[in-house]
This record gives sequence, C-alpha cells and structure tokens, in this order.
Amino acid sequence: MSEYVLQARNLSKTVAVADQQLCILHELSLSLKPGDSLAIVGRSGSGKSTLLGLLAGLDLPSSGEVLIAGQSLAPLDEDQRAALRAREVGFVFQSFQLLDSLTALENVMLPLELKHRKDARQRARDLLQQVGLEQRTGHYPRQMSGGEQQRVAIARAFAAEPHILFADEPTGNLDSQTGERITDLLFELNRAHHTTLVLVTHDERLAQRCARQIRLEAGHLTEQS
Amino acid sequence: MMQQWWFLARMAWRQSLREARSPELYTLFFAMLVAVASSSTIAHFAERLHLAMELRASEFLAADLVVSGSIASSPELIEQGRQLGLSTAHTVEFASMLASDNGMQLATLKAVDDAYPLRGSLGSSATVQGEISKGGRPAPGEAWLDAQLFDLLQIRPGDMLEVGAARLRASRVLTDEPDRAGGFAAFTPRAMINLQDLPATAAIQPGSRVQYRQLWRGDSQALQSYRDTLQEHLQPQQKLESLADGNPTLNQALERARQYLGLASLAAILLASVSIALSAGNFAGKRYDHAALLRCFGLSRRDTLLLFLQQLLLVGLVASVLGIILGWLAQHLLFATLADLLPADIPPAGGSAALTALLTGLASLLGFGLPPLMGLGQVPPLRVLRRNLQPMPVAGWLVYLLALITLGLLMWRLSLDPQLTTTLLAGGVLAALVLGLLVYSGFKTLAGQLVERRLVWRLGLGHLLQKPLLAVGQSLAFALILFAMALIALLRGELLSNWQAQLPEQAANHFAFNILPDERDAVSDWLHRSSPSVAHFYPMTPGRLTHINDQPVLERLEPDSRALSTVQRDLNLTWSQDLPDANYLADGLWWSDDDADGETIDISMEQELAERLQVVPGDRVSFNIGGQIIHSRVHNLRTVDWGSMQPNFFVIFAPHNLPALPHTFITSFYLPAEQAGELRSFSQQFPAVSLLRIDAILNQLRDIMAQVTLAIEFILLFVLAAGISVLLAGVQSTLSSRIHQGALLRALGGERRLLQAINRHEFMTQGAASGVLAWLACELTSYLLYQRVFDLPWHFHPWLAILPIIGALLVLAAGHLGTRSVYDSSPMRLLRGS
Repeated sequence: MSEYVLQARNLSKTVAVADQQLCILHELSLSLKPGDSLAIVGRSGSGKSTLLGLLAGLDLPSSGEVLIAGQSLAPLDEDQRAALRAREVGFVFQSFQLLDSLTALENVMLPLELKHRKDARQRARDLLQQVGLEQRTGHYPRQMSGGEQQRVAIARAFAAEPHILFADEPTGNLDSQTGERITDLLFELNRAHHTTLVLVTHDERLAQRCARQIRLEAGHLTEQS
Repeated sequence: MMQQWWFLARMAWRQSLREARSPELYTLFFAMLVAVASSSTIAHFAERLHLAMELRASEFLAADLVVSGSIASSPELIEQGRQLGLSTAHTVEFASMLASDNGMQLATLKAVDDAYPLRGSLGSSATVQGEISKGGRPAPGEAWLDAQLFDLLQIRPGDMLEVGAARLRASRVLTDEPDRAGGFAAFTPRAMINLQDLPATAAIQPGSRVQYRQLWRGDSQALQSYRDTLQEHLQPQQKLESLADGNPTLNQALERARQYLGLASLAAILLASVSIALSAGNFAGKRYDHAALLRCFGLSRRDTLLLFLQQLLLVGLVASVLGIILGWLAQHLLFATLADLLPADIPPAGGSAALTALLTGLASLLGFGLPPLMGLGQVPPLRVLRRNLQPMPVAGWLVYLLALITLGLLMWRLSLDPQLTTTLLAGGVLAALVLGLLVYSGFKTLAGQLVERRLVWRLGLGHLLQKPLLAVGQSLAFALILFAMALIALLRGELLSNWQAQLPEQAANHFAFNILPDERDAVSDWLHRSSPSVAHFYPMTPGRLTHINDQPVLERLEPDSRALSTVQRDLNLTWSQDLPDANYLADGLWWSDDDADGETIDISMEQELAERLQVVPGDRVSFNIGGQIIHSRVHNLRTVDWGSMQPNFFVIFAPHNLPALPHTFITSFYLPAEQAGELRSFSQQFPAVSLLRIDAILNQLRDIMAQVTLAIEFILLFVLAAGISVLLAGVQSTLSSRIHQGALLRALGGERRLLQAINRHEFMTQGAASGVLAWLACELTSYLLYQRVFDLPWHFHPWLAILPIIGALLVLAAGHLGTRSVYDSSPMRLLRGS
C-alpha cells in the first residue's frame, strides 16, 4: 500500500478546438498523504476544474496517470472507476447537485445505498444531525435555502466515509456569512473523519485554511506552497 | 407595424438557421413531419381508395350517371354531354317474345351499342356452365341469352332464334350484366342484342313499354355540370340514376368503410398532435432565458411571442412541405405494393389531399403548439438575474379550450359525421378527466409507499412523482397512443369481423321469386334439400304508394326529392306477423295480435324512406295494389341491413285486417358453386319461378371489405410511427434532468447498470399505468361507439389486458432509445455547470 492516497504523474489534458489542439493542463504532478488538505487556486479558465475532474476520476487525462489509494485509474473502464469512486471518493459541488426528486435524507443516503450499506438511513440521519439539519430530513431541495442545500451536500459527501473529498468552489454560490459557516463545517468534518481534502476555489481565505496550495495559470503549475 | 413584423420574421429565420441542430427544434420538426406525412398519406390513400371503391361501385350502374326513362334522351342533350368531354353509351330495354324451333318465352331484351358498358364488363361463356370470360358484347346478328333462356327455349349456344321479326344467332351465354344487380326490376329471363339489330326486330311499336338508358362516364366535375344541365331539361318520363341513389347495399358498405378510415386517421393525427404539444413544450422551456434576455434588451411581450411563433411556424411549414412530399411518395409505394389487390386504374387523388394534410398539420401546430409557447411572451425580464423566475402559466382553461377546438375541427374535417365526432370528443374529455384523476391519485398513493422502497424504485418513481401533474399528462399521452392502437385493432378486428359476420360464407347467392302460392311448399322442399341456407319465404306483391295523409304523394314531394324515384315505380310490398331478420325497429313498436282492431291496416316503413317522404308513425299512407286501394296507418319505422342478402322490403304490412291480395313468394338461398348445375333441374321443375344470381354483388362487397382492412392495417403503421414520435418527444422533455441525475450518480460511484435499472423501473411503471388507462378508455369508447354509432352489441374485451404489458415494453423501448445519452453522460458536467 502506497503512503500516498492520491497521486498525479505528469498529467496533461489536451482538447481539440476547431482544427487546433488546446492544452488545458501541462505535465502536472502532485502527491497527497492521508489527512492532507490541498487548495487549487487560479483564474477562471486556468484548468482548476479540469484538474479536479482528472484527480477524481471523472475524466481521463490525455497523458500521465492518476492513482487513488495506490490504484491507477488508467486501466479501469468507466464502471470500474465508478466503483472506485464509490469506495474512496466524496464530492461537494458549487451548485450543490442534490437530486430534486429525493428528500434531504434520501440525498444523504444515496452514496451509502450505492455501497449497499444496510445502516444507510440511520447513518444519514446522524450526518444530517451533525450538519444541524435534523429537522429538515423530509424536505426536498427546492424547499431549502442555498446554505442548507450545501450542508446536505456536505453530509452526503462524508456519508460513505471517503478517503478523499473533492470540493469544487463549495462556497461559490453562497453569501460570505453562510460561506464562512459552510467552510467551518467542512474543515471540522474533515478533521473528524481524517479525510484528505482537495478543493478548488477562488477564495484566498478559504485556500489559506488548507495545508497546501497550488496555483494554476494556463494549465501550468506556477506556485506551490 | 408591417416593418416590425418583417423584422421579426427575418430574425426568426436567422434564429432558426442558427438553432437548426438544437435537439428540441429537431424533435418539433420531426413531430410535424410525422403529423403531416401521416395525414398526407392517409388523405391521399383514403381519397384514392374512396375513388377506387366508387369506381367499383359505379360498375353496378355500368356508368357514373344514367338517364333512364320511357323516352330516349334528345340528340341535343347527348351532344351537350359529349361537349363536356363525357363518354356515353345507349341501351334500350323492353319485353319481347323469343322463339326457337322448340318453344317460345317472354324475356327482357336489352339492346346495347358498341360503347356499352362504360364501367365494369359483361361476363359470358361459350357454353352453359362453361368458363366465364369478361368483356365484349353481342355483335350485330348475335344474341346473348342467360342460361335460363337456353333451357326454356331448349336450344344450345350457336343455334338460331327469332327475336321479334329478326333471326339472330344465340352465340353466347350471358352470365354477368353489371347494371342488372341493382334491384329487382328485371326478374324475367334476359337476353342481349346489338343495338344495330333493334330496328330489324320490329319489337318496339307505339305503346310498347320501353326503357331507354343513356349512360355517361367522365370526371366528377364534368359529370356534376352535366347533371345540373340535365336537372333543367329532364322530361317527366325520365329520371337520373347515380351511385348515390343506386344500390343501398353498396352505399351502406361504402359509408361504413369511410367511417372506419376516418376513425383510424383521426387516431394517427391525434397522436401526432400530442407529439407536437410535447415538443413545443420542450422548445418553449429551453427558450425562457433567451426570451428574458430579449425582453431585457427591450423587445415587447407581444413581439417576443411573435418572434418565437414565427420561428415555430417556419419550422412547421418546412416540415409540412417535406411531409406532404413524403406522404405522396408513401402512398405511391403503398399502392405499388398492393397492386395485386386493388383495381388497376385507380384515379390519382387531387391536390385537395395535400391541402388537407397541410391544413391539418398547421392546425395541430397552432392548436397544440401555441399554448406551451404562450409562456414565452410572459417571461419576466428579471429572469436574467434570477433564473428561477418562471413565466405566469397560461390559463389552463385556455390551453384545453384551444386544444379541444382544434381537436373538434380535425374530427369534423375527417369524419364529417357530427354524431361520431361528438361521441369521440365527449368520450375523450370524460376519459381524460376521470383517468387523469385516477392516475394522479394513484401516483400520490405510490409516493406515500415509496419511503421504504429500494433505491432504484425511489429514484425511478421519484423522478416521475417530482412533478405529478407532468407525470399524469405524460401518462395520458402515452395512454392515448395505446388507446389509439387498441381502438384501431378493435375496429380492424372486431368491428370488421362483426360486419363480415353479417355476410357469412354461406350468405345467400341466389334469389328465387315469382313463386306461386301453390308451388311454395314444393319449392321450399327442393331448396332445403339442395341448399344449406334458405331464407324465409316472403309473400310479395307490387304496389304503388299514392297518398300520404290523403294528399297525393307527388304533390307532397319537392320536384328534386330523392323519394321521387321510389314513388314513381311499383314498390315490392310484403306482409309479416314478425319483424324479419336484419330489420331493427327505429321508432314505435312491432305489432301484436292486440293491434288487430278489425279496421286499421298497419304498416312498417323503412326509416330512410319515411324521412324522404316526411312520414312519421301515425300518418296515413295509401297504396294502389293491382287496382285495389289500401288505406294504411304507419305503425312503426325500421332500419334495414341491406347487406344481409335476404329479401328486404321498404314497406311491410301487418297481416291482420289486410284483405286478400294477389301475390307470389320470394326467398333467397345459398348454393355452392359446384352445385350450380342443379338449378337446371330446378328450372325444369318450376319453370315459372325466376332465379337471380347475386354472386357479383357479394364478391364486390367482400372486395371492399378486404380493401378497408388493408387500409386500416396500413394506417396502424402510421399510428405506430406517430406514437413513437410522441414517446421520444416525451422522453426528450425530461432528458436534461435525467442526464443530470445520471452524471451525479456516476460521480458518486453508480454503475451504468444502476442507471439503466432506474430508467427501466420508471419507464415500465409509467408504461404499465398508461396501459391500464388505455384499457379503461378503450372499453369506454368502444361501449359508446358500439351502442351509439355502429348499433352493435357491446361486450367486455379481456384481451385488452395485454395493454399494460405492451405499454410497459413500448415505453421502455422508446425510453431506452431516447435516453442512451444518459448512460454516456460524463460526470464532468457537474464541474462545468452544464
């Protein structure tokens, strides 16, 4: 077993635009140990989300390799990658991405049910309690505020006890006060669950709270701290 | 104003070009294409089939239009017809004595010119019972006799005989005469000669009873204009005959065929309209942002709506033109495929079929597509800042009213039968309301049960239940597809077989009449020995209807009344204690012994004749029967199934109080073709009895049924195509939320199998629910149709229980086809916010 929970080796991503090849990410490498927290910062279009997608196995690189828990993603097909994500990875998205047809409780149960966990309902209740939404379990996303929806999304992200949590602009759609509270919650749970956190953000203050930061500019890693 | 309109039109055009590949425009385009192509094919096909059927039917007149009477048409009148481009033929019919070396016989003689017949053909054989060949006519110096005459005169084909003063060769056996089967006017043995030999026979003398017939054929416009000319110049001794007032048996068959086709077409167009409504909804839903932006830039509400409306119309027009071409090609293909089964010279349909299809398509587009589009004019400009702002929904009643009016117009255009239209409209609205409520409460109950269900059920049905009203609407739309298909299957299978059951294999193919009362038992014994099916023996006497409520009937009728032809000739009258088979009471009760008051003579009149004569139960009607005046009272009205191939009568007397009248008997019977030879011994044993073969009309009826069946099967294909387009449009309307759900489940680790299972659960549940709805609606509608329109007994259809299964499979298949992109959707969408 590798000491790294997440590794990227010489990751490049090129896409064809009209008759040209556009390089979005260029030869990028990084490694994270369990419990690490990494902020990816950069301007719009610098390749942050692309990198996050590649690291989480949502997309495949043009060249290079990603390893999650020592397992290379390259030889896996989409279903095998999905199984790996179900086991190892959690997500928090900028636009919450809750399913409108499910209640708050059912949304949190979702990743647990994908892992066929018998205690899905109870565990989802506990998590909703941890994020302060024990009174809203039966509510649908459209009946909740943005901040509440993001708290449900955070509860869902931690539900399946992932080793790595990917967060894409988790406070991007929230006002600063609510954003602050969501950030506190995120880091609190991260510590409690000893999860590796990778987050993409514009927000320098949020980035500062991570142990490491990298800055992307036109697909190149320009700064690492 | 005009300038602004033009500006918007150009903008709509540019917009359409830019958006040419957007999926919802694509779906709308295809929905319109299917709607117009199917209605164009159906309109073309139905019109050509109708023409073909009328062509067939006009063979029974041997022409399209006939002027008949005791005087010949004047040369000027004939010339006028020729100038209109019509072709003509002339026949002269009279009674004459034929003589051979072995005997003499009174026969009906028909002299025909070289153009006769204009429609259909004569059938003849070289020997009695020999092989029948079609075509030709007697050449000068020849006579064609029916088999009975050869027998009665004891001669053989090729022998000479005397026709009046002329000596002619009896060259062939006359087997089929197209214009003979129409009625029972000519019940005596028949012979045919060439018109050139007529003067030589010297059979026509002043005072002879002669019927001159001038036959006409040509296109319907010229015929109509000639008919108008004739109406002005027709002499009192002459009358017009055309298909409409010709043969009631065929008219009834043609009318039913037209109704079946109309119903089937309606189903296809209804489905295509649903597809248009769904795609227009998708189209509008995707353009709220666009509309908000235009509103924000200063476009008025009216202009915003106009812009999108023009875009919709543009797409509709392009699709319509393509659809018409496709429909035209499709019906050519169909006719080519069915070449063996249809008559060879089917006239092409006129431009009206294309116009009908275009108008139908545009009416559907506006009636069903406009309501969802209305929202685009209502989008608040603030939506550019707050995307969740939805336009004010268009008032529900307006949407439904518009759709209902369009539906009514389409139905009216297609079926032209107010009763059928109302039945269907009322049934449709009632069914939609009741079934909609049913499925809504069903889904609500299901929602309550879902909490403890498995994930695939929760996600699959959760998607459905998220917007229960949309789910209800979609289920109703899917149900409509199944309903339409089941109804067509029902029409094609059950109604047609019901109809055909009235013409069983052993339907009578011969009439026997002029049976003298003292021969009745002997004839009956003979027939029952040889035939498996013999009808009742009805007494028959000719009589003329003279007065209605003491007013001479000719004074009572308008000069152009269709009843004139009925009252100007002798009617065949009968009497019966019981209501004959294939007769149904329409107004009043059948008589019983209690009605015998010792004075009143009751009659039962055929309903259509009573309507033409403006007679109701209780009216007094007088007849001249062999010089004896009979005053009667109308006791009841009856409808008659003219296709029953039994002796049928316009007027039936109640036997009580009726004085003794001179009469003979009539019956019909079935004789298998291989036993036809036995008729020879029958004729020898009962020389006075006349026989009439009616195989020709039976075969004609069977042909019409076969064609209608084929047409309905063909239309079923279109209904299926329209149905699939509805399903795809329905699935497309929920595609973006499915893709989103798919991408999220992928990101969270869900496998492709899971996504497929979720969709499977949803589609199958919805399909099955739609199937149940369709089943209920189909039973309800068939009940109404059977009871109110077709006058057939209704029964429960257990085989319709297959509908929920078909529904589940059909929606699953279309759903699978329409949602393939869901399984391939990249979870990266979630990060890109698309």
